[in-house]
Amino acid sequence: MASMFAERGVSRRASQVVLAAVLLAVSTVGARAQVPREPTPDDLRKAKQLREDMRRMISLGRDRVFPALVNIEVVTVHYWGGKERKGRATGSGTIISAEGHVLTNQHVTSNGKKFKCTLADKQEISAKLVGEDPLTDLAVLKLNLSELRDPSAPLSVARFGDSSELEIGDYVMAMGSPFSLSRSVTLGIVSNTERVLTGGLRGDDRDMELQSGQRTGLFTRWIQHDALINPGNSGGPLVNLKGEVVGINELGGSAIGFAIPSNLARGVADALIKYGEVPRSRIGVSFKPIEKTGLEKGVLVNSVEKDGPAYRAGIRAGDVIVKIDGDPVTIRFREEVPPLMKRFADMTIGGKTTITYERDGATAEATITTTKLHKDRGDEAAFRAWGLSAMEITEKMARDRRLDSTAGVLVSSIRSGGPAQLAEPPLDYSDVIRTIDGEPVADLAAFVARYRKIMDADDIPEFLLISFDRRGRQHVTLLKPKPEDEDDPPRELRKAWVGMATQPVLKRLAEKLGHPGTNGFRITRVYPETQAAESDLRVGDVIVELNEEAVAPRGMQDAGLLARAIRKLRIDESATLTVLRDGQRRKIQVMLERTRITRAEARRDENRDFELTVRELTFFDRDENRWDRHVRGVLVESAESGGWAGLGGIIIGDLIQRIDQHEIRGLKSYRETMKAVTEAEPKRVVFVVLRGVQTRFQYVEPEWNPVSDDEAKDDAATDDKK
Amino acid sequence: MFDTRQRPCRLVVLLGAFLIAASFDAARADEPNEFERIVSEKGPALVTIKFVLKIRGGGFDRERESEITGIMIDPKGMVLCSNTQIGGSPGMFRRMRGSAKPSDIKILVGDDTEGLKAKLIAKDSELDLAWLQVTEPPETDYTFVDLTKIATVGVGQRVLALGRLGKYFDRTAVISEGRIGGMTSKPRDLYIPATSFVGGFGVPIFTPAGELVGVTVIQMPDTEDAAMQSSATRGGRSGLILPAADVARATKLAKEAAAENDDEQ
Repeated sequence: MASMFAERGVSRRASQVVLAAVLLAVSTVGARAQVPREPTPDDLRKAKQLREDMRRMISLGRDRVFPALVNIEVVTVHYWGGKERKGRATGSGTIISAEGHVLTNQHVTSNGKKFKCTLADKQEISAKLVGEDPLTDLAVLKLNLSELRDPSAPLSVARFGDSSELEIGDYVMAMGSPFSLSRSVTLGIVSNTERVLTGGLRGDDRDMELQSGQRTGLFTRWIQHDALINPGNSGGPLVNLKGEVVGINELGGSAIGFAIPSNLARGVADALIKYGEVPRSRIGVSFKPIEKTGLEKGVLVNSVEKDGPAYRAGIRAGDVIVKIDGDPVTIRFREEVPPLMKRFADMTIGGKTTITYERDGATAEATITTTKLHKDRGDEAAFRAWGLSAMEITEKMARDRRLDSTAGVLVSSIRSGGPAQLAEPPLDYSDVIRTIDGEPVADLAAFVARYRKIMDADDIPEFLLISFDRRGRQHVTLLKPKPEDEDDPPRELRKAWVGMATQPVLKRLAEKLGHPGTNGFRITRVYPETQAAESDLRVGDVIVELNEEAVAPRGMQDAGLLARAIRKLRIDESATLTVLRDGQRRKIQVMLERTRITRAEARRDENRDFELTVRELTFFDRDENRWDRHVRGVLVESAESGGWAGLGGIIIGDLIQRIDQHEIRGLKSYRETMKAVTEAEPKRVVFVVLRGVQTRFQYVEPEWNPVSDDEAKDDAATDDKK
Repeated sequence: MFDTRQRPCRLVVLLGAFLIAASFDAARADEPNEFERIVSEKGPALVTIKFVLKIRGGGFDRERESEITGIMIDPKGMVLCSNTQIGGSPGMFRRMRGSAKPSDIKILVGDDTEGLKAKLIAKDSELDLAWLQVTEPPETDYTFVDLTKIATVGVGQRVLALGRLGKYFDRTAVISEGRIGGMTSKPRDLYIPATSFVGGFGVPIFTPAGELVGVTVIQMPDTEDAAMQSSATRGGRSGLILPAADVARATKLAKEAAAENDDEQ
């Protein structure tokens, strides 16, 4: 989210240039008006003192928090097209406890499957997610301290300051990893202490969303500042000159930043560490400030959730709340709404609150019993074999989608051409799956359990009867869960071939080459280790006849004419090529070979554990890379960036030549080796690859345990971060 | 206001027109029988191939379910179809350095809707032909198009294309009539129909007597052609007729290739 204003960098630089020009012009004018005064020793002393004081204050603040600064790398999982898609994200965080708790933004940890933290002393250790609070965009990780070089050494821990003491104009420092450049510090001033970002430009009270369907910032009045922050700063601390964390940077760009106040962040962090979540209550009401309503006091009830706590107590949209538990309340401006929301959220879940409200000129009271505020957006999982991803249905989702309950799972994406789409009728995005083979599916966990049971069975049924809700209509469909056995596709039909590459020689080129009126095909390469290489054919020869028949291209569209004519001949027979060389005609005999396998025909292997697709090496790969026939291996065709192989640094185009101690000679030995690796489940797998002209050792560290739970058996790839 | 002196001339013209029309009517009167015969004799050899094409490359993967028409070419379940239709355009995948693989292949014979399992056994991108084999041996022989009963035709000759409509039209066999509009030897020997036929690619073209003239194919530039031209100047054309002799020759090679074991280089 910190990238939202990143594009402003250009305009800021432009404005700096303009400002510099204006200052230069002004100073030039000034120079003409009066002779500049030489600074006195007192001026110099004061300037020096100011500089030293500033430096001391900054270093004091910096040195108290900087050692607790953490760079966070996240392997993320998104669900799209009925599949799990891995990616990478980076952010910043602060160590806030001696036990290794790290406070950061929820949008940094969001969809995170794996976390690595680089500490200020550059040690890199793993971390686990303790809890997330999307409503404030805060999350807590816990460092795996056993991975430290000296686990007994005390951790540097940052201290929280009182964000309510901040005033506009105060100096603050932003610390973090902009653009992944770790341990960076910038300085600025506080521009505003109660910035509210909820609501659109039209003032329509829209909720701010972290991602689709997930509200955030309900309780937040951000600290706006101009300490430079950029993507990667998210989750990093905003620090005052006393070296206290007064905010958590959340949003911003080149010239503007927004931080969550420490007083809010601290409470959330404590709750996350204690409970793994932030327990909050709700009354099911949204509010509108009374500015421009004509009301003098109170707060307008903008909407009431049907059958929610306030609704059950008799509160209706349009009511004006004037007292809460006897305390008069007036909310005139948007900036005053977050504290009111927080007041209700902080009430005891299941407790009672008395609301005094006005309706049609009459005053009344209602006692509301609060309920727990659940998360807005449900967890998600991919069910690869069925070609769909599905999401837990939360209360808010059920309300927003006008579902009668939270039972079932919501289809969040479908893989094109997958079993869910091929079902008759096909399943689609936003369908709510209610039962499988007649058994109700209560929630996502139940769906995952059912999926695993079905797919782990020795005898997977041919069809599953799925019932689902689509916009109130109750459908049934048949889904085919069993994947088809897939054979390698056949090669192209083998035909006759001469191991050479050619270019057409047309009329004008023939003239320039000294054989006017004789079009043909000039040899541009004779492939080594072919019958052609053993013949007398040479680069530069112009072929004008094949078996005494002229082969004369009439344009570039005839570039394949010679090759096609050769393909019509028989493999293992001899052909006579008439060539022009040094102005002389020569007849050259060459044995015809079988066409070689092309890249498109090369067989492939897709390894789901390592998220790595390789293909066999072809003759043309060897030729292009100048690899002789002794160079063996398999070529990497894709390596998902957040997958094991991708994280291990394997990239497209690598030629895998060895895996641990096993030499990879081709696809067969690769498949055998990967099967052995999967059975052995080693902690580390060494891939020796040829990249360009250099060999490289790539260390891949698989995580067998989570995968065996979630993915390896083609199971649901669930969000197991909790 | 007609000049009465012109009437005898007009009568002659009208009489001539009537005779010509009558002769056309006589010819048309035969056509339904011709059509019916082709449909009844050859129609059962036309099958629907249902499959899922798995496409990789260009930065993302996707799958697509398709139905195309194929020709049963032997009694034991060998089926011929357009390679472009079952495997996607090889040129396109070459450009995006991707690949496509048909899977879950089913052959629907007659009015069957479930299909017989089949596998792709050979392909020839250059000719735009692919061959499949039903994996379960049939209880009785299938009706097939005999690749030994072939004909060569010339420009202007009348030919009949036997196609099969899609599932929304109950996969009905349909004849469309046309003439050979031209012939070319580049990039290879091909008949060029004067009109396009109903029923897609990979469908058989017959003489009115029921001999196989060829199969409709898509012809895109070969690898060598494409490499020497910019994408703007590359040509390609669909709906051309690959002569039956070339189809038969390629099918012989395909059977040999299928019989071979893995042909590692």
